[in-house]
Amino acid sequence: MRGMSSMRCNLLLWAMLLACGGVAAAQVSTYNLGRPPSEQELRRADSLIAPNGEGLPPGSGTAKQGEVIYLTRGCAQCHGSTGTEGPAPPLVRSPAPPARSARAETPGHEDHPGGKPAAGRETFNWPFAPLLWSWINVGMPLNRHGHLTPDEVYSLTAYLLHRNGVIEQDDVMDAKSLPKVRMPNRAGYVPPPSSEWWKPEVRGR
Amino acid sequence: MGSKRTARRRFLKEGAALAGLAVGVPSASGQTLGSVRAERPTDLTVARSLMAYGERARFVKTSRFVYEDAWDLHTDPNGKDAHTVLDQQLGIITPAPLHYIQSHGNPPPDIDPTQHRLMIHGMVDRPLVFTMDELMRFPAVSRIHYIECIGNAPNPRAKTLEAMHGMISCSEWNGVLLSVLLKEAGVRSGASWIMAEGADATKHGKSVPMGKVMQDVLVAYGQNGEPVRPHQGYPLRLVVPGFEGKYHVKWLRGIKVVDQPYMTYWEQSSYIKGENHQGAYSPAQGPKSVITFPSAGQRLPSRGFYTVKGFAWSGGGAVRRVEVSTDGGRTWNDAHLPEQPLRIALTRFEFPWTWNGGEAVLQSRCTDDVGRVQPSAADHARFWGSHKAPHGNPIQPWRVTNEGHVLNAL
Repeated sequence: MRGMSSMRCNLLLWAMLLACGGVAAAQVSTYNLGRPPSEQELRRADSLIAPNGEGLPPGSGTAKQGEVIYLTRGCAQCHGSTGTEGPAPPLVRSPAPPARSARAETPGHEDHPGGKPAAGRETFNWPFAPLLWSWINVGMPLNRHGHLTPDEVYSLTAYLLHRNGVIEQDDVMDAKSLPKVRMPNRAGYVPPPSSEWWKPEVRGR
Repeated sequence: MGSKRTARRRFLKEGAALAGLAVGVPSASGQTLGSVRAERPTDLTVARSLMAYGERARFVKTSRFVYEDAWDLHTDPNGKDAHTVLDQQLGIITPAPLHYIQSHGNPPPDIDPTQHRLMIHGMVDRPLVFTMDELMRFPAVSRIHYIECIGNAPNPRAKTLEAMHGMISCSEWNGVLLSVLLKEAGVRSGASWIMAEGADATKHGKSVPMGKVMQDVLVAYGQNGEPVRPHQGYPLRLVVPGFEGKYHVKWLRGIKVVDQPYMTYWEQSSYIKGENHQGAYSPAQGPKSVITFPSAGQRLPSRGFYTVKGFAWSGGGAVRRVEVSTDGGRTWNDAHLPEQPLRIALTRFEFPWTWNGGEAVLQSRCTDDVGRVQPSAADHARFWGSHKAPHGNPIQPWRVTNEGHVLNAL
């Protein structure tokens, strides 16, 4: 494109835009299969939360409230009373190195990727705070999606963020404040790529 | 159909108990059922059941390597990891019962196909919900593609082929193109990604860019001629050819059309900056190959002629060339590709070799039709910033000792 005149460039761009618009407008159902989703189905699907917080429901909570929920609603059973003991992955940054997993000790299978702690998935490593809300909401406790109310998920999110030194104990987390939380490892992630990034010839690997 | 299945299950249970009694061998020894089964069933029900759904010969005992620990947060034994055994695979198709399993500890949800729905929603003109029957009424495609876990990689500390190369399998996937379904729903302008969601305990989700989706992403209900197996996503899974295994969302229940990647729990690692920034955000897998015979854990019984065998593949397209070195990488020669390589599928290669009884280091190198070449371990580490980086596609060398033992030479 660099070699082209800007006028030709513009014309091309307009032609492409028109072509795309034309296709979108002309899209009609070919097979007439399927049905529109019910209200309930769409509500369930709303539990998918974008990194920028799009989709977060009404509700709120603080770290203080979250601590009680953490201890009484099942979290501590798997993650330990302070979020560091396990056996489930640690939720709170701990100075001690994680114990080697049993897999890493399996003869011939030492240092298998599955045997290592999952780098980047711990609370303090997440790039955007709403993702933490989303994961607790759909994944925790395991197999019990819907067990926690939005208020409880906001409280637990606040508790974990506070325990990792990201927010204050009395900070109220809700659909507005949570996306504004600056995660400490944000700079450790690359920004979303262009739509061409996946092409192998572009990666040139 | 349901009652037949129940009958078969009952038979298997009782048959196992009977066979164990008859031969006096406890069946819990970890050996396959076949090893203690009578040569030929005389019971009419048993015989009929085997005629209705076949079993392999009792002498064949190929089985996956099942990890006993796997994912500390889960306790369900059905959520363990299992690695396939590539050196036992004959041809490019992995039998479904031997397909590697990596579900992050989640057991397969028990999904009744008559109750299962796929919803397409988000930035579309017409959100739609499909039953399995409706999905099967669309025009279907069948594609042979490999799926490989991002963690499948050579490793200086591992000692066996299945430990390092056991998380790749290749199947014929049958289903409907996602582009066809999205056209039905009418993708709105500005939509650039999809977010695919599974029905497992943690609702495994992955973001896939729209360009890839419209190219060749498949919503698969068939695997090697039968419904997708439970551990592989029954009744429905996404197949994203050439992308890391975790993109192939199993137990698929939702496709949300969106304008940004959702950076879910399991995809976050894709975005982490490495020491080398080139490494981040690149789920299309590079060219790769591995010699499966001879490979670590095997032993050559005597000097003389052998056919070196292996598999090559690439997430970028078809395998164009495989080279083999038997002298530690000093000289390379073209391997024979007995079949026409398929796009993003396992490809067999062979190389004639006479072992003179001395030490030898064998390795293979793949070039794909995009022109990319499989890197050495050193080059791979340089590019990614660490040998433990994702996309473990470096060259795998095997050392043959004077006694014929084959070891990991990394």
